[in-house]
Amino acid sequence: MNSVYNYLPLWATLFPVLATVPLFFVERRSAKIRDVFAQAVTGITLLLVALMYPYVRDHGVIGVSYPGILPPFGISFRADILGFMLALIAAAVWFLATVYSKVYIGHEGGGNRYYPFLLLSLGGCLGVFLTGDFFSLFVFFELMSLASYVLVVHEESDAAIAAGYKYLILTLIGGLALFFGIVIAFEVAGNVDIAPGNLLFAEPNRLSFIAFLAFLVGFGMKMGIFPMHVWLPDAHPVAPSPASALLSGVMLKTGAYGMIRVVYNVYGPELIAAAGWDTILLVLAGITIFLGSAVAIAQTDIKRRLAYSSIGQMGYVLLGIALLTENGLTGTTFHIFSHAMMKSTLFLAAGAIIFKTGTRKIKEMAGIGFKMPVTLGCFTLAALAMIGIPPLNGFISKLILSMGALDAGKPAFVFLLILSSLMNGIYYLPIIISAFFGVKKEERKWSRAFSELKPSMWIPIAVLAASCLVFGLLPINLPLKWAQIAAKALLGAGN
Amino acid sequence: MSAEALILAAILTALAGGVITFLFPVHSRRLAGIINLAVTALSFLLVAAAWFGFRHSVEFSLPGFLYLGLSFQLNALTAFFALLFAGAWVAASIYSLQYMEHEDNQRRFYAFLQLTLAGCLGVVLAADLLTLFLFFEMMTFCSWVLVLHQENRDAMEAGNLYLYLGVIGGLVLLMGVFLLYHAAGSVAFAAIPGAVAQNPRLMIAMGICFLIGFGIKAGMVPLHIWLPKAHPVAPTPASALLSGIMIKTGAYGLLRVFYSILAPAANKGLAGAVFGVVFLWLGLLTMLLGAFLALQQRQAKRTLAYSSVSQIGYIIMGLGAALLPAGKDLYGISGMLFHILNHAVFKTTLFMCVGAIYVYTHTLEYDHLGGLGRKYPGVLVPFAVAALGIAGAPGFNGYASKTFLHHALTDLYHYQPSWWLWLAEKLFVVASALTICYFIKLFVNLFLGEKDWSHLPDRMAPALQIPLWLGAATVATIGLFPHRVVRALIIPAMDVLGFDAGALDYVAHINVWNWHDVWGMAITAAVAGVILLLIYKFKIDSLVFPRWLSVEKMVYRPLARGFMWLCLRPGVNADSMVNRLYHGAGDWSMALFRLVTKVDETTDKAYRSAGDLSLALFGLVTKVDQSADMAYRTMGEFFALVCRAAGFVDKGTNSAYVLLGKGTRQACISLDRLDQDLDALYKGLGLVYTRAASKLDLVERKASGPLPKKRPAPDWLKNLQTALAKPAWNISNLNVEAIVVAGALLVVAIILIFYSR
Repeated sequence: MNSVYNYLPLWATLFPVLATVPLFFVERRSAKIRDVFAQAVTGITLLLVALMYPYVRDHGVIGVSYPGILPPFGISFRADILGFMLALIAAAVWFLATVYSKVYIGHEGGGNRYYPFLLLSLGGCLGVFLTGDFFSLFVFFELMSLASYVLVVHEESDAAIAAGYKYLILTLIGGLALFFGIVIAFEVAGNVDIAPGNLLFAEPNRLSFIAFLAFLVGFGMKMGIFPMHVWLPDAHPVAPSPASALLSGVMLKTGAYGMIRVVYNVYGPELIAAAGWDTILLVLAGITIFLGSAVAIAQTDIKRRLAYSSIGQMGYVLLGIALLTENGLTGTTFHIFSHAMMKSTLFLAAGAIIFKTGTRKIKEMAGIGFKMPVTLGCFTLAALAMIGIPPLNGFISKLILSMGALDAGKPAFVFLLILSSLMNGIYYLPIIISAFFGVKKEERKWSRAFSELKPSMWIPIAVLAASCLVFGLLPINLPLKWAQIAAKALLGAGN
Repeated sequence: MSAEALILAAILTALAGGVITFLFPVHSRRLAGIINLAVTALSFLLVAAAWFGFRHSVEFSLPGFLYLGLSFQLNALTAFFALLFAGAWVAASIYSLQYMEHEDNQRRFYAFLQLTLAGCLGVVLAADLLTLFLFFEMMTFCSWVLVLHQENRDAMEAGNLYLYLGVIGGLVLLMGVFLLYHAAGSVAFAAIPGAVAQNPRLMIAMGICFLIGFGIKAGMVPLHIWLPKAHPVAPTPASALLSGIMIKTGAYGLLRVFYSILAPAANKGLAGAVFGVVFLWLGLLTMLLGAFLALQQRQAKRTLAYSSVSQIGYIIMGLGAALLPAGKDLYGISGMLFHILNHAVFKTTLFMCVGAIYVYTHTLEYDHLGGLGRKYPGVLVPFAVAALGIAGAPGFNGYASKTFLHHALTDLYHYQPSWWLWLAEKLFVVASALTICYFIKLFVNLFLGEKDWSHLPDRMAPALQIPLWLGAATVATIGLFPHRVVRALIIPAMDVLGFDAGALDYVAHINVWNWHDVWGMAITAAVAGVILLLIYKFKIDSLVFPRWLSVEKMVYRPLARGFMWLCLRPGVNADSMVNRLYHGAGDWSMALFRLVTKVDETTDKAYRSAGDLSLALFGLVTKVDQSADMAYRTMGEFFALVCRAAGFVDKGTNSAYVLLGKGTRQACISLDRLDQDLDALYKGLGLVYTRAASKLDLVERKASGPLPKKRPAPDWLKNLQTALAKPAWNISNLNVEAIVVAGALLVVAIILIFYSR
């Protein structure tokens, strides 16, 4: 492996995990210092991830490995352009969500438990993106899953406990399946390193198919792919909104990242295509897209609606992975970015609405746009991006994904994407319409702009919403460039 | 400044104006209107400067924006549309100054009016389909806010219908763009022609996508259902622009996609044959249905909205005629472009006339209007001029463009005589006649008759009147000098579409002032007269007659209604059937979604029951385990008991053995003692024997020798001495029995002693 020796992936992963120790002592003193400390930690983590960029850009792959820890697998840290991009997204959204949490969690309480687990799951999430072999990935995957359980049950209501239970059980099943797959791969190939050209399975036999199914269950569970999605619409809505944003916006993507690695680094697109397993993925993706979007229409709870929408969107991501074309892969990677921005905006905005009004029912939100113009403005922007209205980033990912589907000779999926966009419209537009229009005249008074929320709440929302526009319209679209480089690199890996 | 910068500036001015108006609170109501007018006028001037200042085609792109880059073009065709649009916008903006006084929420209205202008300009100035789509969506969403401006129930319903159909149309259009981009590798108009002709299936699919996508926006039957609802509820300046301008973006899109890309003039091929027929007949259907429905409306704006449907039919019919490979396409295209111009002029004028009345009367129901001609001749005259224009009266603008379109049909019939083209031509005449009829009805209902309007102010505000007269003057000017307009505007635009010099020259020399065409118009008028006689006679009577003739009202009106019912019912049915179809599709899809939800719930339930089952299983296993545990424990206790018993037995045996051993040892000891005693006895015997022997010896010796002098001590004494020296009753010689016996004796003694006291 010609990777450049660099400790940054290691530090970026371990820093938030280690920071929980001083946090433990700090948080007992004062809640204020605790909040600032957590923000500082996530901010520094973001900086550490961002600092990797020059190395990743110049050398392609950077990292360190410790084969002595946890033999026979060993632990290794590694960042290539795909891992770096996803880690950067994760760290950025985490930072914004932490800033947002200050007021939200301050209001909700339980911050002393919330923040350490927030940092732990950040470490786990970054670890998934920045490790160089599947075993290390698995370790951090489990760390993230278990730490985020505490975030899910934060409110400790009956619903939260029930949803957390479901989440925990299914996550455990997924983790076990994943481990099973890793063990088979190790048994067959003798290593589980993620490296270009290092395909772990050479031929489509029964064993490799079982491993494939195990990987599919393991990562698909986290991703929320039909029929493994059942935990998602329960768990995401009950979590506190910043955690929902992270769950939906970032943590689902660890599953998608894993699937990308499985398809392109473990099996290779040639093997997948020759064995016909891409059909399995395509069928699941199609069902997921349709089901997620369709069921979202029937929801009355805003966060549940958003959670179902996430399922549909992860169907897009799986579709792009399964198409096995360069455009498809670029579209998937860019859609991971787009969806992180859009869905985090939506969840944070929904959280702000719930925070202010105390209601989660969409019907009771009529006229909310006049009370919270900035929040609802950001919500509208992100929702339009979800529908795929140009010039927002959701449009671009849809465009590239459609090109990928046509490249693969599957125009039916373009139709499905269009249909799903329409359904997105059907479930997002009524929220916007009732927020701004059809309000009685006396209630139509605009509140003075920006007095709606504290700046530490609306600035993260606005930053995320602005990124939906900036990374759609403007020509300096770094995530898109990275996605293209990553897709080229991954497809090159199969040859 | 270069033309490129001017074009961008025109779009960005409108965009920025809208954003600024929306975000920065303008407290004066007038100021927002004035800003809007200034921004709109500036946009118009920028477009005009870009075109008239340079007079040559410009095409440029902004690479990198929106992934594929945005590109714009300015040429005779796009400048024609852009100037038309911006010009109409200026007129509507002047009009709004006064009109919007009685509306709420002016700031939002003006903001979105400017944003919609930016969208419209972007649509026509785009040089590729993606850019076009971007601005098309922007226009849809921004104009939606204009439609639901009043936010009452009707407006919300119409707005929702408009928005959802707009979104659907946009998405279908997007699908077409995707297919085209994939097939041709580019979305630029210039690069595409001919690239997609190879695959007929793909081409038909694309064509249908574009047909639906642009057709919804254009208001083509059967996709028109939003139009008669959305246009009347919007504030009048917005209605005027919606009807006069925005539906033309759909027509423009159809023209560019079908005439420039799918079936270019040089190679019409299959697409031309298929979509030519489709557009020709959809156009005719739209014309007839729109006119038919306009005739039955009883509200001025609704009449005008249906009239827009009907007129867009003319435009689409022109495109269809041009696409058909049989005849000369120059009539169809020139007629289409000309009619777009004319319809924009007279329809905006008509809407603004009606709106000017509405400002004062606050109603547009026919039943509440009438007799306004005498009150407001300043509205009557422009309305009449524009109505003559739309009716196609010679000397007014509609005459020229309708004649062109009529020529397109007769020309096709000339090259390819067939019964359906003959029928098409007849239907064209009927639709034109119907147009005359519903305008007569509208005119009569608004302006004629007797009604007391003395409570209204006599003078109309100038801001309301200026645009009307401007429009009427344009109608008349174009009507009087159609050839100049054709040469100045239409022919350069057709040049862009790729017509050769001969064709352009031919168009330049079409003369509409000939006996044949005027006679055609006269026939149309005669048909209109017949229809009027058939339909209106009873109705007009019942309406115009004063109230006191109630018998007539009671008798004739139901008769007239019955007649109208007989005449119009099929049209209403068709309309409502289409409407129901939409609703049905909506219900069906909602049911489907509910079904999917149910599937989802079932999946959910399956998960839950699997969990319950395994929990129960675990419980069962635990119970089995517990009982096994208990069995073991019981068994263990039993065995412990058995062991204890065995232990007892063992101990008993052991002690028995010990006792036996002790007994044996005792016996052995006794034997030993016996042995010793025997030994001693033997020894004694031996001694006796020895003594006896020695006695014998002595005897022998006595006998033989002297006797010993001293006699030794007797043996019993010696024995006693030995026994005294070594007593045999040692304590160790005591045995248990002796102790027991002694104990017993002691006890007996104690008892005896105790009781003896």
